[in-house]
Amino acid sequence: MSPAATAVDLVRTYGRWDAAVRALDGVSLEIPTGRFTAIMGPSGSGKSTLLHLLAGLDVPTSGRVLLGDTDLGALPDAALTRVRRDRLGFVFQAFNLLPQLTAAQNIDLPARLAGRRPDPAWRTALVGLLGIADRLEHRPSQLSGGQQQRVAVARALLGRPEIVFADEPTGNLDTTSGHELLGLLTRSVHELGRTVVMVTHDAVAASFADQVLLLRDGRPAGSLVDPTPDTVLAALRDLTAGVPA
Amino acid sequence: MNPATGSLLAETRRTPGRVVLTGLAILIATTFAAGTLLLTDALRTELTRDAVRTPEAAAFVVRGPADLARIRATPGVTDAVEVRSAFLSVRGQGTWSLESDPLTGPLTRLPALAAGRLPTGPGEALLGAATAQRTHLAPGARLTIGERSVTVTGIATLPGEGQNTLVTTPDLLAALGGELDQVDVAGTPDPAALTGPGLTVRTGAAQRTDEAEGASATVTAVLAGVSVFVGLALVAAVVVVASTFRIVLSRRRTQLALLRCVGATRAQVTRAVLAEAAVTGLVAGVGGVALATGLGAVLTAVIPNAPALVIPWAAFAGCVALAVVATLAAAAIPAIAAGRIPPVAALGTAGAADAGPPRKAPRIVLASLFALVAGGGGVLGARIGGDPVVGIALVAVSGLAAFAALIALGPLIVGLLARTLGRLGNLSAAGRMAVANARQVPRRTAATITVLALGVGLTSALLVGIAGVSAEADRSIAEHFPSAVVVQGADAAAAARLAADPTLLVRPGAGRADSPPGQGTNGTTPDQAAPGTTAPDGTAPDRVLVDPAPGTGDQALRVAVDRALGPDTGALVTYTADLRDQVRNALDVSRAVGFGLVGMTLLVAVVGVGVTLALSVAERTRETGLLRAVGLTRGGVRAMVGAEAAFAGAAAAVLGAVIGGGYGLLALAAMDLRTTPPIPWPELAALLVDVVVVAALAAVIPAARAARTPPTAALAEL
Repeated sequence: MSPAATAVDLVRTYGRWDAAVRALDGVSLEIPTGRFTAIMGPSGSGKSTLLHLLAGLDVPTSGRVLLGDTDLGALPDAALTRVRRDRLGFVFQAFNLLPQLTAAQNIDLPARLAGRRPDPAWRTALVGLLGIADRLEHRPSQLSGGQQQRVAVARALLGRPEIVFADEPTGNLDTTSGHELLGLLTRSVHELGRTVVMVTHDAVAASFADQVLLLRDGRPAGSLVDPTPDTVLAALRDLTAGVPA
Repeated sequence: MNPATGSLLAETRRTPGRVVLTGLAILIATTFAAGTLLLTDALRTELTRDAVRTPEAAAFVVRGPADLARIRATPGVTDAVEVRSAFLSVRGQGTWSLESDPLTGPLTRLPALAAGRLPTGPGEALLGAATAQRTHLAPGARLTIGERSVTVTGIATLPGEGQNTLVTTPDLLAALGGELDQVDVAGTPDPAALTGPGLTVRTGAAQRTDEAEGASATVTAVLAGVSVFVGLALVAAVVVVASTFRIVLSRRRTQLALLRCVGATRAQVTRAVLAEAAVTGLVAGVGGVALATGLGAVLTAVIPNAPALVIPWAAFAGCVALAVVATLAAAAIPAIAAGRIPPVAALGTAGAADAGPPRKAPRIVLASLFALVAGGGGVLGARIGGDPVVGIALVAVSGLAAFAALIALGPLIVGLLARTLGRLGNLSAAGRMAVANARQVPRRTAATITVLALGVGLTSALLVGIAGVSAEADRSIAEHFPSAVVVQGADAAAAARLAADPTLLVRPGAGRADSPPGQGTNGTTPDQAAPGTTAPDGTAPDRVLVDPAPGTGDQALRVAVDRALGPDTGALVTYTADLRDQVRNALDVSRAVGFGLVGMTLLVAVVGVGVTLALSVAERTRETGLLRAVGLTRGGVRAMVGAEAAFAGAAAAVLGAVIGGGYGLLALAAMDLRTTPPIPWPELAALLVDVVVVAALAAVIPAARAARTPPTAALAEL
């Protein structure tokens, strides 16, 4: 199966000239379709930057991002916006819902932006699966963190996106809610056939993934297949100790 | 200075742009205040100069039945001239004002001629410049006044030329029947020698001072009227600035809480905010005064013959003080609220502190109180009768109370409107977001809407008022001048000649202006009219009403009337069409002036929309980024911000038009007019559309800024 997304020689620098910081320094990798991929690395390794570039939220300094066959670098802003709206889904660490909209309105937002009616059967199924059917008319301020994040997952999955990107999705959740959420992401991959890419610094969260890609100093630093918390922790320890994995 | 104040002021120095943004509304109001003072001074100089007609050379002025020959013979008199004036019918031109002037010598009042030459012969006269423009007459034209033919030899620019004006020698004007107003006397005579029975003698200086003071009083009255509108603009600015202060402080909640964490007392935080407000007011006040001076300088440079700009320093200092006080008043409640921010907020997340639903009960109670005052004032004003000024004043007080009620109710109204709009269901995603945004910060949206509604309300009241006054004037003209031409004081022979002319339809009119309405307005055929040109007792009627026969044009009508009346008539001819034009011109001027005055409040309100949106957009960076991340295009973001402004504009337009239109009708009722005032629907509709468009235009800069928000802003660290 062709990869869901491909990164080719990605470089992203921030600032200019002497003050420039190379957040990503030549990263090439593939995100396999129908799999749950975790991206890990110490602080400043460029994992969030990589996610932003893969998701078309940011534009690389050089290199290419392919979503399926689409070269994101070749798209003007409006087309890139449509790609995000129609082909991608997002789950963020925090502030990922609009406070002025109800849960239901937040879930429907991308579809509404596209001027589409969401598929009602799929929507009902999702809301049931995520256990938020009775919270739909509430505003985010009236929901717990776990409920807010499940609303965000519903919003991400409603459009049947090619890839769901999750940036530290469990960062603001307690352990139980976090595990529930990771379970939902796993099920969306294995039962619903989605592709999920998650950035995390939590070894336990990463162990829910099918594979872990490791970054260090803006460069790829190996990968793990079928990770467990122990193998992830060991790999991270090796990374920070400066030993190539 | 307490350290809290120092900390806030240091931040103010670092971000001067925010001070300007916060104080922008005050700056504009101050510009108006300073500009008014500046123009008033120039206006006073100008009007006073125009009003003083008695020439400098006139050492004494003799009023009463003076004998010119005797005065001229008085020892010490070097020159003396009669000053005469009259209102006379000029054939084919209606009634003109005639003034006398010696034309040469020290006692002439004429400026240099604009065209032609001075009259030299007995049958010659000068035309006023504005008259020449209105009538398209030029030197060489011949006019018939009474039995005399007068040739225009030149054109002079005359002060205060409201009516068509001709300048002749005192002798000619005396022959035409002009009345003697005064005799200007030059030289150094003994005033006791000038006086006589029935005469008053005063010095020329005293006369000139009187004339100047009369004009100055007019300017003071005008200034008082304009001040009311400057005051309204200032009130609007205070509401806008209070709202911006709330927004700015809520964004700095964490910072203020940090001050409390490290030991600042509530009072210190409040004082710090007030100090910042004072600085903002000072900057805005000085900026406003400077802007007004700059605009004044540009105006005087552009307008030819403009008076020199004299800067009223003391009054300007007052303007700056007013700006500071107004800003402090606006910041008072936000400052107290800032003092109440708990220290623990420094550790929490920053959100929009003015978000969330408003408290209902106190607002409703307050609004009810104001509505009660408004209702009472309105009913009393419309019913009180007597002096219409008292009625209109009551209606104005009622209007202010209604505005206060609107301010109190505003946030609740916003919620109601947003819910209603939300139910429409047909909105685009951007429109839906705009309504949700407006509803999320009801107090902020309400401040924008109420101030804009005040501007729209004033404009609507003006439109309705002018339409009512205009209809009343039309009715009054139709009542008193029921025909195309009204001839007063024609003798029987002239009346008979009018009746005999086949191009004219003639009927007798009641002699008095206070005749019952509707007299003679019903269709009258020539057969009935002709015998009626003489009253039953055989004498000529006081007034003859003349209409053109079918097929007679306006020019032919004027020629026929002049021919019938003959050259030696003493009759006063009024052309109703000319009268209507004059009334219409006067109303057009009032309308233009009114829009200028009301425009101040509208401008402040529109700036309020722009500033509030700019701050809201800055506050919603993260949310905008999220919308961009999940698929809202840049155009969509722009549309969303624009729609929020348009939503506020539409709500303000409808509220303002309904309330303002109602108050326009109330004011007309207070004037006790006899016409049912017509409602100027097309003008009101145009106003509504304009307000929505202008509000959307005010959103252009904030919208462009919001559209630049990168999607990654949604993921930024807190």
